[in-house]
Amino acid sequence: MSETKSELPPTIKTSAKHKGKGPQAMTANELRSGLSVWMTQDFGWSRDYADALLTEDDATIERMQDVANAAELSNTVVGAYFIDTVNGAPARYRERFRTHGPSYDTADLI
Amino acid sequence: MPMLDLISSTGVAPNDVEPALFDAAVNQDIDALHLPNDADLSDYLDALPRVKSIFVDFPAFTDGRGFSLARLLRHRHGYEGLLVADGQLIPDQFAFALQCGFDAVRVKRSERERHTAEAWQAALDAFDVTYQRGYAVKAGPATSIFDARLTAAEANKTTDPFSA
Amino acid sequence: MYRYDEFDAEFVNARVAQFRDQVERRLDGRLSEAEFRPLRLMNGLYLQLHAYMLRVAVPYGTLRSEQLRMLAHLADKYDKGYGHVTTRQNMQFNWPVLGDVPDMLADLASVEMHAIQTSGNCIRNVTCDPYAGAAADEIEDPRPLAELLRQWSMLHPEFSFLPRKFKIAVTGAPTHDRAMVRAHDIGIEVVRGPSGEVGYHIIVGGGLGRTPIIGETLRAFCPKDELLPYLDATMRVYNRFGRRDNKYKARIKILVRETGIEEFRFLVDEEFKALDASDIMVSQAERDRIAAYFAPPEYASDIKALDLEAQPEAFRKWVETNVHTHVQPGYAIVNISLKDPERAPGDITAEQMRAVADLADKHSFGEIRTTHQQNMVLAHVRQDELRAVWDGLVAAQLEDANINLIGDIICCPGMDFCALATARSIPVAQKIAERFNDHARQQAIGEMQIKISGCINACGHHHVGHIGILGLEKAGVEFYQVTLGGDATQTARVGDRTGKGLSEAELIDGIERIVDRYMDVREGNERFLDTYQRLGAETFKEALYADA
Repeated sequence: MSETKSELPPTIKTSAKHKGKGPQAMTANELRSGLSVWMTQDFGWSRDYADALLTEDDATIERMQDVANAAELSNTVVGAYFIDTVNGAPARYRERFRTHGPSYDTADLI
Repeated sequence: MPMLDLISSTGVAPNDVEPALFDAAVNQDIDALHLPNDADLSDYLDALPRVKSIFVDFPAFTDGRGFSLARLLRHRHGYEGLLVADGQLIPDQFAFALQCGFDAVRVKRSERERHTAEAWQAALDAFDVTYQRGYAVKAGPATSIFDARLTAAEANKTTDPFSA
Repeated sequence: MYRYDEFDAEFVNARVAQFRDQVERRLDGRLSEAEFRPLRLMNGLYLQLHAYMLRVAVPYGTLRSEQLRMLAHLADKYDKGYGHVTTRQNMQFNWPVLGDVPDMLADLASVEMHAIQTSGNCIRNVTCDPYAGAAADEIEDPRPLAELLRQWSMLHPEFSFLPRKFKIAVTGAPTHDRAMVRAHDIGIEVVRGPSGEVGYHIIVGGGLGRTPIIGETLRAFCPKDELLPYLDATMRVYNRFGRRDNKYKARIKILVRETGIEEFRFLVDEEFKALDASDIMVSQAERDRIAAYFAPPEYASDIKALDLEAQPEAFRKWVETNVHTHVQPGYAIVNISLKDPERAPGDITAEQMRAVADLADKHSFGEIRTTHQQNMVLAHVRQDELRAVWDGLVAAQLEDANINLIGDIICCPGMDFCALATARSIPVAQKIAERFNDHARQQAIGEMQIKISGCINACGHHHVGHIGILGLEKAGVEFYQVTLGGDATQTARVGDRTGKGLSEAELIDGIERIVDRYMDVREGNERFLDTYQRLGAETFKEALYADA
């Protein structure tokens, strides 16, 4: 018996649909490394936010959603979600912070 | 109604029984009782001797109330019929379910693509021991570590009469 | 210290194999992320803001030297060369990758360690007085109790999917609570019963987070053999009736508050009466077996008095602040500060871990403690070896003489690492430490506990700080709310909110004004907390906002 998407069990969740404002970017974490990634122009993933695809185009957003869902189901990324952006940067403080990593890390002193 | 499988320590069997909601007015044998995991067991006690099987609802695998209900049914209320964890459990919880008193779990057959019969059985083999007393089961963690230590200490005392 | 027997070893090795299998099944998709998440959390593995984070259990904050060396090894091999001591005495690593974690757990198992239940909605790692077994003020060493609880709670079949996490803390020194037992889901104090026998005072429903509550007495005296059945009864009531509709109301403190302590106690007592205690309790022989591992070390009696006068001033200052009275004449408890003003509070490099492990081998029976104040302790140091210990700490840059002073700041990782944080906390701690860096000034201020959390979940214990700081964010700007008069000890109290939030710069100046005001108005040797209680909040609020 093959399952259609609507029959996916609740224990397999894919990213929520975007309800955001302004240009959207898609972010997630790599399953293996845990590191933050953003969806790129060619619908791949980059660890560098500078490569992120930002768009307000509904068709592109829908495609980003599909690609993210597929990436989660193929176990390459986890917890994909859309973020709002303003002037090219993530709108929320937390998301901006996530693009550049910790402001302090003891590793830098070693 | 999705196709369902009953998984016990002895294997997997189809099971599409539709457990019935409890009706206190009905005074006859109950083949399969649906028990919500927030049930007040005192409502059910009079009927318990007439119940042949109980399906405890697990609305989510992270909702552990059913484990306590099973424990109470078995240890406090002496229920000896079939006890099934009915819902979303995953293999990694199988031993816990049996240790709390369940005989089996019931899951959607479609889930078995990911959670194979082998995975369910392997989960029972993951541990031979459990710390807690009173939660050891034959299939799964068969011994409480606290009890095993006592046994080992006793054996040490008796087997070697020449040890200091 | 406790040593694993064959059964403990078998259990932990089986756990490693189980997690290795779970990771494999996650990577090939047999486990979905939603299924894997609770499983990995129960092995201490988080997905944080930038990366995975592994939280290793330091059961009741006690480590053997080879265990600390293993943590150093993990830091070097799988992480970035350092670890972070948490406010629940554990050690976490900020940068592991998923595929390495089974190997990290295997390495830990080789030295009788694990990461079991350092996260997840289960019974968490039990925390303890870091001076256990060395404090002059304790009734009994609480570590045998803590070890029993560790074993009883490991993969508990019934209580591994609770409404929410469940934290237990124990202390053997009810008159000097260094384990925050009143801010835990369950706190246990060793007490003496009516006829002098030793048992347990059980406190329930404490906790910080978004709804800070000081725990209440559940049972004034629980005989030792009844403890596990009684806890089983308590856990069962919580598992069945704790709220699951709202994760912010799912802790036991909310159940206790909504039910009322009398009714809650009634429910637990009914449960306790109905269960078969003999089925759950462990034998006296088993409790004695565990306790034997915590027998006092073989103290020496030939210890020469320490001539402080002949010692350098920096050493004397360190002795004054970091060294604590020991129950055994001639010995001392040494606190190692992990509060270098330039570091994140609680961070320690692999090299420093090895240095501490070496010092423990030479001078403290090979044993190290971690503290909820994010420091370390060498519990049994000969007073005539204090200088050698200090020399070793100086060489490792661990000689900060600031224990319990204003520089000894508790601080969660905050936005720099944590996925839940709303603001950074590490830089705030660093700026306060820098502002008060002068040792003489710190010493003059005296005991002062500043505790900083980067969100309302309160991992930095801000509610019970003498000065508590809560980091929030609005419209992309971090701001900080201040509470005053919190107390984390046996006289536990949640601090009072002062008023509107402050920017980081305003905050640092404001704290300095609070401290200056305190120095102006204190009487005699009053601590800040005493002065605050005597005068009330007004004068300090006025100082905090004087410039705003």
